[in-house]
Amino acid sequence: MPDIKFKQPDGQIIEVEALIGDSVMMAASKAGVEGIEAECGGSGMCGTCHCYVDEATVENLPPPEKSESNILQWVIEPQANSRLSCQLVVTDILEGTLFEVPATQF
Amino acid sequence: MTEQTIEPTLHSNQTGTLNFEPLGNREFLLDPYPYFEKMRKEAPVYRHEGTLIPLVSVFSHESVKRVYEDWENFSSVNPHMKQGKRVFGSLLKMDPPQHSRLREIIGPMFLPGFIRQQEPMVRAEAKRVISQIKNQTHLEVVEDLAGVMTVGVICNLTGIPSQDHQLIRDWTLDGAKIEGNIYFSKTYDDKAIGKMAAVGGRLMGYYENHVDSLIKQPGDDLISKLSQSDLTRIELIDFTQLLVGAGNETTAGLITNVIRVLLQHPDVLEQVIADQSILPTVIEELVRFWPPVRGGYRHAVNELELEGVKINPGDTVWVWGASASRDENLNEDADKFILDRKRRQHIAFAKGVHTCIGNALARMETRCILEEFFSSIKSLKTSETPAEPLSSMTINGLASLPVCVEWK
Repeated sequence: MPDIKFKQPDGQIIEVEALIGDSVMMAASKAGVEGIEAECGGSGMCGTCHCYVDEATVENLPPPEKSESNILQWVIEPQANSRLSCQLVVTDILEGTLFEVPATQF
Repeated sequence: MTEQTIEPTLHSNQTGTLNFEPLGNREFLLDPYPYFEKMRKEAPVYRHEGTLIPLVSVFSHESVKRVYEDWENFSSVNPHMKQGKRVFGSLLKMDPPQHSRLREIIGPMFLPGFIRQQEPMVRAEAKRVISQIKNQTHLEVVEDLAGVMTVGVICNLTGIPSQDHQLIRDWTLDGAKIEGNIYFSKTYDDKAIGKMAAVGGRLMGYYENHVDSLIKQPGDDLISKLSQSDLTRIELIDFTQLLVGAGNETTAGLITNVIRVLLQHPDVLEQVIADQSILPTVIEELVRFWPPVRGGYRHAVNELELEGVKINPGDTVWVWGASASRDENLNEDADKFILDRKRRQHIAFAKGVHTCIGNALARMETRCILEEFFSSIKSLKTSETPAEPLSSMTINGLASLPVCVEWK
C-alpha cells in the first residue's frame, strides 16, 4: 500500500494510502480528494482527472499511450509533467509521489 | 415559484401495486424528484408493465453507474433496428470499437482546453442575446434567454448561418419533445411515429446540404475542421445532426434550471446578482441537483440481474441519471442545494465511454450567458404565469419559465 500525496491549489497536502492495482484517480476518489473530477469515471476520455506528477517520479513512469497524449494536449494548462490520473496504475514506484491537482479541470 | 411538497401518485388505487407512469404525467414532468425518491426507496430497478418494447427503469446510483459503465452488457446499439441499415444518432448509438474510432477523431475538439478557445465566440453570443432582451421586464427564460443562446452557439460551432437559427431551434425542440418517449408508449401511436419520422427527415435533408457545402467551401467551424479528418461524408452528416440536437435543448435546460433553482433559493440568487464569481460553483451544484438530462437508455445484451430484478436480452433499460445524483448513498443531504458541498458527486453527463462529449462546452456556455445576465440585472422574480413542463423523458428542463426582471 504505497503512500501517495495530493497537493491542492491552496497548498494543502492530502496523504493517501493507495491500493496497488487501483488507478491514481481511484485512490484520489476513494480518499475524497477534491479537484480530480473524472467526469467519465476513468475511461480516459474527458481529461478532467488531469494532474501534475512530481519531477522525481514522472520520468520513471511508463510513458503515456497515444490516446492519453492526445487528451493531454487539450487539458487546462498542460505541462511536461501532466498525466491523466485514471491512466496511472498504483505500484511501489509511486511511494511518496506528489500529485499536484490543477486549479481547475474545466 | 414556491417549493411544494408533492406526494407522487405511484400506487394503483385498486391493487396497491407500484405503478410508475412518467409519460404525460404533468406533475412528474415539472418536478420528477419526489417520484425518483420513492422509486429509489421502493423499486430502484423497476420493470414497466404493458409497454410496447420491454422496458426496465433504474433509479439508484449503484445500478445507474453499472449500466452506464458496462457497455458490453448494456449496449447503445438498438437491436430492434435491422442490421446494416444506417443508424441515425452517430456516436450515441454505437459501441466500441466503432464508437472508439469516431470518439478519437471528434473527442479532442470538445476537451476542456479546446473548448476554452471558443470562449470569445460564446461570450460575444451571450452579449448579443442580452442586448436583444435588455429592458424587457417580462421574460420567458426558455425561449428568450436559454434557447436563443444555445442555438446561437451550436450554429456558430457548426457553421450554420444566422438566418437558419430559428428554424434549427424549432426542429430540435420538436425532436426533444418526443426523444425517448416512444419507449414508454403502451399503444402504437401512428401520429407520434409519423411526426418523429417527419422531424428526422427534415433535419437530415438540411444537414446533408449543409455538410456538402462545407466540404466544398470549408469555413472556420468545427464541422469544416472535421471534414479534413478521416470521417466519411455520412459520418460527418450524422455527427452534425447529433451535435446540433444534443447541444441545444440540453444546455438550454441547464441554463433554465439554474434560474429556476435560484428563484427557489432567494439568498443564493441575491449573492449571484451581487457577485457572479460564484457562478462556477452554482453551476457545479446545479449539475448535480437539477441536471439538464433526466435519463437515457441502453439495450440489454445478456440475461443478468440488477438489484434482484431479472434483465432479459432485448430489454430497453432506462437510466435515470438525474435520480442517481440525488441518491443518499452518493451524496449526503442529496435533496438539498448546497453551494459549499464537500465531495460533490453526480452522474449528470453519464459515465464510461458515452460520457457526454459536450460537458465542458455546456458548463462554459451556461457560465457566460449567466455572467452576462446577472451582471445586467437588479432583481429577478417569479412571474404570476406558471412554468410549463416539457413533455420529454430525456430533457430535464421546462417548456417555459416566465420571470419578471428589473434591469440595471
